[in-house]
Amino acid sequence: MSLITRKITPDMMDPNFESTIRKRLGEKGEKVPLCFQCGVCSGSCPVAFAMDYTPRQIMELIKLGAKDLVLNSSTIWLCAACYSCSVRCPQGVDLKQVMETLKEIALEDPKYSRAEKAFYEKFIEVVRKNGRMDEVALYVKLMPKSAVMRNLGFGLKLYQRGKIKLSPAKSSNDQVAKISEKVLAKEVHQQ
Amino acid sequence: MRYAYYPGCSSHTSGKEYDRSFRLIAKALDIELVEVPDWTCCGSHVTYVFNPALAASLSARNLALVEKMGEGIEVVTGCSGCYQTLKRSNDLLKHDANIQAKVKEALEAVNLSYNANLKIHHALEALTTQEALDTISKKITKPLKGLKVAPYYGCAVVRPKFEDSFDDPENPQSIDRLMKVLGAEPVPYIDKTRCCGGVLIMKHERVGLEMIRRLLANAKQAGAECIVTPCALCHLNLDIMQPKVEQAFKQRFNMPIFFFTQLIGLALGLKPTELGLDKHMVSSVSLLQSKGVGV
Repeated sequence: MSLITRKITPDMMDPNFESTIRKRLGEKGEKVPLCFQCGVCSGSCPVAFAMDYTPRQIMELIKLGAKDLVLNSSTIWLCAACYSCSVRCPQGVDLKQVMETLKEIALEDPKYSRAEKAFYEKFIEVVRKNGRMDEVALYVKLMPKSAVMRNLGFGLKLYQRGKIKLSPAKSSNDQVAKISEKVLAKEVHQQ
Repeated sequence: MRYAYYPGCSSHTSGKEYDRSFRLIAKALDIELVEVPDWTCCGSHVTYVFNPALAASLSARNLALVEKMGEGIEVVTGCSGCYQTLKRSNDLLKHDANIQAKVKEALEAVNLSYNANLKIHHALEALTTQEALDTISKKITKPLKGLKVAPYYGCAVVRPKFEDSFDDPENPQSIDRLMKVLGAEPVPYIDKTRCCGGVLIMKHERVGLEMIRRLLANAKQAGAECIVTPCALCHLNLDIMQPKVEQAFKQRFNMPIFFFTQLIGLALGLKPTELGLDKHMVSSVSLLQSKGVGV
């Protein structure tokens, strides 16, 4: 932890960070301060090997109010949402839900997560437009042209096996678009 | 038994043969699957990150359609992601007043309403009740004798723990039991509920590939000749990405990956091509031939 604390300067801190997260989590938020740093979450996390801060460290950084370090960490985006930490935490912290809340906060603030935002935005875009998800449509939207070209042979094999379609899967109605408009318009209005 | 069947988006693409084999064996086992008319995306955990009220509304639209299919009908889906998302939305709609209000309004925009009283099942759950196992056992014509299988559950079918979850999040047994009924031999598999990385493969390919590599390597080490899964995304990672994993780590696995519905189908005497085994990236032809299955 000493390595982490040395990296923190006052302008990166938000003393209300933990309470913001607790509030967003509702009832589940009450458990957040109970974390006693045992590390079961980090030991259970299948992606910990690739993260800059382990899940246990993220919990401590939240307590410290180190907002910038947390929201700029690779951890929150590498979390695969597998719930291993959540089902094992002896203190009942739903850490997967904490990670989701951190992603949510980061997505709302243009200061963070510019590189990661595209995935979520494009995903919603495909669903809103077609009513259904289409992995290929999403993949093509996300990839730089050069990567799509590099993977053409691979794509052909998938095409031959009927795993991808050239025309995207579509629902026959526009109800998803209507529902999205309704929910998202309301959010803007409330702000 | 009659279910409202929610196939989920992957049933048209990466999980095509999962959908096909599920429908075929359901028919053989006298389980009636009525497809939810005009279903749309469940929202998935991706929409939950973006906007929880929108995610819950997208799930609720489909559940509202199921409710219209008749009193007492229950939902079944083969997609573990859809299973998890639909259950999560259903729970929120029972307990969270804030979400309830937003979803109600969203559904009104498309003239629907949902009472949150439905039961949602995974195909694995529906096919491993004692009753289903007994029916399967009676109809087996080609036992999968000597086939050493790593039972891979993944995350979403066992986690999070819901009030009415059907299997254990740490050491689930439903696939293990099913494999024994089919005559196959489930090997003890340390990674049976370890995450395959899910959509990380799209965003952080190298990380995703390493997660898949570990699953394949541990299955091999446990003496498995193949892996069986109840999840289309796990199958995508383990099967479709397997050649990429082999290339990236210069390690050869040649590990066929089956949907559990395909193994049930083989044991019931259905043909490999009917079950879509030819759609897999990693061929299972020689493995099955060596066991005298599917021939």
